[in-house]
Amino acid sequence: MIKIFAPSIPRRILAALLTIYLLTYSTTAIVVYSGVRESILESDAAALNRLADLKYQQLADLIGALARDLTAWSELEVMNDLASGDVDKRVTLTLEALNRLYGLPGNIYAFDASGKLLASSRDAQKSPLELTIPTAWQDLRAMPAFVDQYKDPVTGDKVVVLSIPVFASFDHSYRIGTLALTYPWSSIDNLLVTADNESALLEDKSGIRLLSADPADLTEQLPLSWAELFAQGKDDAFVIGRSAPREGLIQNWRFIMLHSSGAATRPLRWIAFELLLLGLSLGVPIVLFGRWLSHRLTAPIADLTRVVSEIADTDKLDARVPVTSSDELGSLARSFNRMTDNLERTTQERERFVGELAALNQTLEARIAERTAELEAAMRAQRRLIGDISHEIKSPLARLSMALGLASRSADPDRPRQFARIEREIENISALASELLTLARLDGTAAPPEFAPVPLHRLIKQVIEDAVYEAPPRARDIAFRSTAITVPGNADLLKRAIENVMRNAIFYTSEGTPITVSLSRKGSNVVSAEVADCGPGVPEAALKHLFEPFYRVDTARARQTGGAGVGLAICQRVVQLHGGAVHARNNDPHGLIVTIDLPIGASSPGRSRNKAMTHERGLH
Amino acid sequence: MRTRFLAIASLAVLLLAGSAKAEGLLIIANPSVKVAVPVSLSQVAAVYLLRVTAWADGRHIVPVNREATSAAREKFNAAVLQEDGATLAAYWNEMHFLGKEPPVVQESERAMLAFIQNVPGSIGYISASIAPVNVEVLAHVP
Repeated sequence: MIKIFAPSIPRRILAALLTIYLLTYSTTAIVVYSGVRESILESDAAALNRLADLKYQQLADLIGALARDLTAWSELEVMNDLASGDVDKRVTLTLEALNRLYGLPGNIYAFDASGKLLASSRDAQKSPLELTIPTAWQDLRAMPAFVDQYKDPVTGDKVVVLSIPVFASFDHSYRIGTLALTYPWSSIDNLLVTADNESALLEDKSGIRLLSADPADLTEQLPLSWAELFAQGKDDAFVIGRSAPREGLIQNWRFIMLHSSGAATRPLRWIAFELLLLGLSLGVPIVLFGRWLSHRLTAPIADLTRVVSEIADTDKLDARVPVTSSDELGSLARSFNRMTDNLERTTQERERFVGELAALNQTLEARIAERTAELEAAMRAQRRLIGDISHEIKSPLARLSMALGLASRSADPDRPRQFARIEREIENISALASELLTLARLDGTAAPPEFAPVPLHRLIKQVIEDAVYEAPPRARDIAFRSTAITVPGNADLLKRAIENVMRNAIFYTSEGTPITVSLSRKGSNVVSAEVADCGPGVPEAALKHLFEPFYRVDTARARQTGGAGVGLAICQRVVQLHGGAVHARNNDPHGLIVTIDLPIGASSPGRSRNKAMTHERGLH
Repeated sequence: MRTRFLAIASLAVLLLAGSAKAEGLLIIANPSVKVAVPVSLSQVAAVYLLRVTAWADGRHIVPVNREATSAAREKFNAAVLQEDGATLAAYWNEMHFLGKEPPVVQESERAMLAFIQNVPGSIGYISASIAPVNVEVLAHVP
């Protein structure tokens, strides 16, 4: 686990630090940016408001100055001539002089009390004298009155009109006419022009009406109508400045200035760029610090990981983690070192124990081998002794037999029965000695017998014939089934082995009890010779002891029938010598079946024998 | 100063040569003025010297004068007001400062006639040779 995560822990710490930094910084930057933007827009709006006010004031001042002038002119004494129809053209001359002196861009008109045009500042020839005052100019509730955006009846230009009733100087309640001043709208338009902003002059009477705009197509660019724009005072696309409402001649006028938000917030781009630069310049040291910190924090873990993998790879427990700090990781390193110490000590002790155990085992094996050798020697000595005894006993027995023959001839003829008895016993002892000798030879270490192909079916037939010869009444009890089979082996030994089994069957069955001998192939490599009788059989418990030397199921009966109980043991030894096996089992419903299995293949007889011997030893 | 006065006087004499034939002035008033005719010259003088400012019916009196250089005014000054022009000018200036309106000036016979025709309560004078159309003739100054 540590190995998998070790490379990524510093990265995770770094990523966490970076994430915290980015979140904090971007939040701060956004707050700062939006705050600055808001304040820029607000200050821009305030500045625009002031500018709009200023423009409005400029207009108001202009109109006010004109109104004051007009008022003064209306009180000139010469205006009394309006009562006499300006017969002397004194009013006309005065108006022309005023127009010239004041450098007015428009005209001054004088009407008499009935509204007929009497005089104007224009050339007399150009003025149509048959002109009456326009109704709009006569709506004279205020003094002077202000009529905005009117078509000059004389020139046809778009003008602003100021008009004032003229009263006689001799009677201030006697109105003798009207004085009107026109001011060209183009001059008003010139006042609206501003360098950076878009502006508009609105009339706010019974609804917002656009009087003038700069640029002229401003209305088409606006997302809202003028009324909405003026009512809301703000818009996403524009910063809006409005003139404050004021009393005065142009109180119906509103001046509005627009400034596109994009242009207003242009300085923000630099601020955003600066914020980005600041973020980067802060980010670099933070990344470096984060790297340093994460490496510093995880260095003990990396050490630990390195040592753990070193121990895992090499099984050497002498590696130790350097303890660099006194914190939790330091204590972990100390604990790990302590654990490794303990492990190392335990491992050393275990190795010592294993070494001692191995030494002990070796000693034990040596002693067992010694004992085995001793035992084998003892067994060999015992067998040799039996062989020697058997051999040595045969000569005295032969001599005893001979002596007994001589003695019987010269002895008392009344006692031939005793002699016959003695002779039979001697024969028994002799046979026993012979069999023991055979057994001893088979068990001994003598050179293995010569092997040759043995026609087993003939050999068995010979055995049966021999048995019948010894016990002629049993000839009809014995049945033999066979096919021609040849096995490699020693003919003498095999004959003796089968003979012993055959003889056993005849011994332990009474006359008339059938005995079946069969020879057949069992599989491709094994030949099976079977001798089955229908005699009394053997108790199940005795079956496994049947092939032990001197073992008897019924001692009394054996003595009656003769035999020392070595025959089946010899048979087993012979078959084992041939690499085969002997089994005994009870017949159904009663009787005994002895099976001899012999291999057909050419297995080395010497080896088989040795194997069998070793096996036997191992069992005992 | 003297030569200038002489020049102006001779010019005025030349200008008024035509009208001078008629010899005499007509005191006229707007037809709205209802007074017993003829009005005495002293009454006319009282009006022009701002001593009387309203007609009998209470209407405001608007006296109209000719310009200072006119022969008619000269004659009016001499015959009716019986003062020279400079003294009268000084007097009216003084009146002006006292808040009284001096007589309105009209610079021609036609203008005088038109004014009297148009302004209710006005009183003026024209040469006797001019037909007093649409005005009330209050008196005749020989």
